[in-house]
Amino acid sequence: MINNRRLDEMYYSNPEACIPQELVIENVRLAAAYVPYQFMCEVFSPIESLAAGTAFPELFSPYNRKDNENRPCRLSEC
Amino acid sequence: MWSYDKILQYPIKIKTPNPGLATKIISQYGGPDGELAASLRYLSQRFSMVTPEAIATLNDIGTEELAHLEMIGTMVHQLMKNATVEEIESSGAGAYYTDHGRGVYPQAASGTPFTAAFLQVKGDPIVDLTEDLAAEQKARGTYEWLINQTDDPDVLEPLKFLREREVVHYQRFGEALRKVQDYLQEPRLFIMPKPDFLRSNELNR
Ligand SMILES: [Fe+2]
Repeated sequence: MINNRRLDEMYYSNPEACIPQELVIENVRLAAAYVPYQFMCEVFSPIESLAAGTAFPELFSPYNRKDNENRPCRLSEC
Repeated sequence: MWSYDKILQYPIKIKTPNPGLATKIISQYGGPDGELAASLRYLSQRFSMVTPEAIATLNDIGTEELAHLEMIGTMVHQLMKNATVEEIESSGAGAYYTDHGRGVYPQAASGTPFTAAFLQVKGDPIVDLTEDLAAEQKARGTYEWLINQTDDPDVLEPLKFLREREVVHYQRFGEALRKVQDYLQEPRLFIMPKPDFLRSNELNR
C-alpha cells in the first residue's frame, strides 16, 4: 500500500525491484494536469484481482469506511 | 459493435431486501455521477478524441461502465424484489414505488430523472479527458457515501469493487491525457515539394 512514505524510499530500498510507476515527470508545463505513468510489474492472481477490483497491487487503495470522511481540522492539527 | 457476455462483471447475490437502500443505490444507475452518464460520456467523447491510445481508453472504459450499469441495476432489483409494500413504505422508498414499483428506473437518489445534462462532450480532447478525470473522482466519492450507508456484506463487496474500478479508471484517463498532451505539443510542420504544374510559370519566364 502506498502510504505516507516517500515513493523513492519505498521503491529504491531494493535496487533490483521493478518500480511500477514513473517517479519523475519531465517537461511539465503550467496549467496542465499530470498523472504518472504506471509500469507493469507484479499482478494479483485472477481471483485476487476480482476481489480487489484491480490486477495491480500498486493501484489497490481500499476505502476504510467513515474514517475517510472529510472533517474540518482543529487549529492544533492544521 | 458490441458483444455481450451473459454474466455480471462481479457476482451479486443479495439475500436481504432493503428497498430504502435501493432508492439510494439507484443514483449510480441514473444519477449525476452514475454509470449511465459515465458510459454515454466516454462512448460519445470517443468520436472526437485524438491518439489511438486515448480513443481505445474511452471505448474500453465506456464499455466497462455499461457492465457496471448492469451490476447496479441487478443490485437495485435484488434489494426491491422480495420487499413487501409495508417494508417499502416504512423504509422511505414509497415515493419511488409510486412511480416505478419494483422496477429499475434511471434516476438520481433525489428522484431527478436521468438527463444528458449530467455529462459533457466538448469536442476538445484536453477538455473531455479533464472532465473524465473529475467524473471518476465523483463516482468514487458517491460509492464511498453509499458504503457509509450499509453494513450488508452482500451489498458492500460489489460497492467496494465498483469503487476500486473508478480509481483504476482515473489512472487510465490520466495516462491518456499524458499521451494527448504529448501529441498536441509535437511540432507538426510538413514541407511539401512544389509540384511541377506550379513551376510552369517560372519555366516559361
Ligand atoms: Fe469509471
